[in-house]
Amino acid sequence: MNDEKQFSYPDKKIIEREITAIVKKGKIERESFPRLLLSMYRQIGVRFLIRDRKEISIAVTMAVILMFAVLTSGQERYESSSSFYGIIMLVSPILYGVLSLLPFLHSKINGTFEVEMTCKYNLYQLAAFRMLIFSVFCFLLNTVWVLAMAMKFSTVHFVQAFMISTTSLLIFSLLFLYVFTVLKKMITKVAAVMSWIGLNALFVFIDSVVYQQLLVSVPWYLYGIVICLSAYLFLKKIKEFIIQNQREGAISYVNS
Amino acid sequence: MLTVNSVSKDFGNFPVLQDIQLEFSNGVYGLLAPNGAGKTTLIKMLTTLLFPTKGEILYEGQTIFSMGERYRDLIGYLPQNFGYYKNYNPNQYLQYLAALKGISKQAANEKIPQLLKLVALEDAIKKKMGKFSGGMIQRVGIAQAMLNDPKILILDEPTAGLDPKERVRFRNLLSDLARDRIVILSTHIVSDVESIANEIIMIKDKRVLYKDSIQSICQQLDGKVYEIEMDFDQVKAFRKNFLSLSERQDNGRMNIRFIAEENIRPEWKRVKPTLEDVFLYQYQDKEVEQKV
Ligand SMILES: Nc1ncnc2c1ncn2[C@@H]1O[C@H](COP(=O)(O)OP(=O)(O)OP(=O)(O)O)[C@@H](O)[C@H]1O
Ligand SMILES: [Mg+2]
Repeated sequence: MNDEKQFSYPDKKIIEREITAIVKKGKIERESFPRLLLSMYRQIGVRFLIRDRKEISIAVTMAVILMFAVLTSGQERYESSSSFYGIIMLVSPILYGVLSLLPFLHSKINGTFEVEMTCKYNLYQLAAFRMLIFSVFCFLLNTVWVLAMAMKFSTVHFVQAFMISTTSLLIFSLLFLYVFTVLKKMITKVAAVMSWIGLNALFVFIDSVVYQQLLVSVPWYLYGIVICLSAYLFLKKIKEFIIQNQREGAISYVNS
Repeated sequence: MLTVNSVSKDFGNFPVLQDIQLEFSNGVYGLLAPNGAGKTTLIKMLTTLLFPTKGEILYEGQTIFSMGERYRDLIGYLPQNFGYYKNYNPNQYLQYLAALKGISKQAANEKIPQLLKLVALEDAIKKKMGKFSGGMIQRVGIAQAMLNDPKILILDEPTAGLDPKERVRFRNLLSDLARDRIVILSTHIVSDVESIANEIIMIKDKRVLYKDSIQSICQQLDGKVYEIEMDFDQVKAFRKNFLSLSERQDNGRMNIRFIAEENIRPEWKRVKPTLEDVFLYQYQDKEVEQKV
């Protein structure tokens, strides 16, 4: 009976310290998004973030050659005042899409997915980080191109072309992320990206006049709003992708 | 402590595992079951690759899926089909995985040569993995799983493709490692786990059949395993009546190890049951089952 009374409680300070330690352990604490990005960058480094340098250079070179070809050999047609806008809208998203898909394709082909998905920083996080980098890269490349186009062709207006192509790139990046989280199978993902590009290309080549009239007639402030909104959503989605990609099993099977 | 709490897994309408209840603390656990029993499925859930259809998996009381990278930081995993990049040498591949695992470059530079030595690959350190043999790839896989000094080491058929010498080396390695961590390895080769596992987990008909020490699992066959010598022409008839566990030729006669549960004859030599006997007994073909 007396045993209970004789039990000596530890010092109040020790108790408090232990409690904070226990609570800290129990809480699901995560780094803030920019900090996570920074530590990911420091940890993984450019060497492995951009592991597939060869494929990336090929894709970028091809895009640059295409851009250059349009710039140097493009014929201005005065009847359709802006025949280049459709092409401007297409090139950067395609480049972005290819660059973003590469890690998944590599992983699929070599069967490294399971190992890469169970590491501290997994393939999804790596891919999302790359998407962030490549979206900025594609944006810059695109801007330079549009600027050059505007200087060469009188029918291309820089602000308008810049707005249109940036909107296109952002909407595509956003769609790409949604497609990625919603569709589970590699084939359906690739198919979805392909059909978006195909649809746009169809507009450009089949009925370019109506399509481009539509692009040009949208007022600039509307483009501005769409750009801000989709940039915000893109960042939000990337963040989700990096931070909460593991609420489900990494391999999700389509039940059918 | 890693807890699997009433976990079920279906693929579409096809149930693979049902109501699995398991607890792991430090030590070696051998996951022993025949092909298609669901070993890999269970392991993929433990490594967050698959989400259970029902139930939950907890580490220290938290579901592993909500722990995210904090859980992945704790595990080392060798998949059954270990993939690699052909143009990397083992050092480059391990550097890459070390980067993903959050290991500093300095620590990786120290650890990788040690690990490659441990799996006897120090001579192949500069060779492209595309030129490796199956067993060599597997050994890179084992090294990779131990890179981050994991608290939970999960290996799916780690000894597949290893020669006897490497098997022994691997076994010794594991028993050293298991002192302060959870090691779970799946296999259908009984001798792989017989000497090192603290506990054996057997899965049968989608459920856990046993999770126990080898000794207690073998106890159920005490007094039921016998050996007998006979002429070749008698063997066929004998197989019809008893579950034959192993047969070997000896000086022109057959030595048969078998299970008998009743009508024991005094000329049969009683032997101590092994884990392999239990495995064969539990997973025998349906037609044979009726004989015993
Ligand atoms: N992705 C999947 N879709 C549908 N069924 C699956 C899938 N993966 C596994 N299965 C089924 O689940 C069952 C268990 O498979 P699992 O790979 O877990 O077995 P295992 O015990 O690892 O076998 P093995 O010893 O051959 O590796 C099998 O019947 C298999 O056909
Ligand atoms: Mg398997």
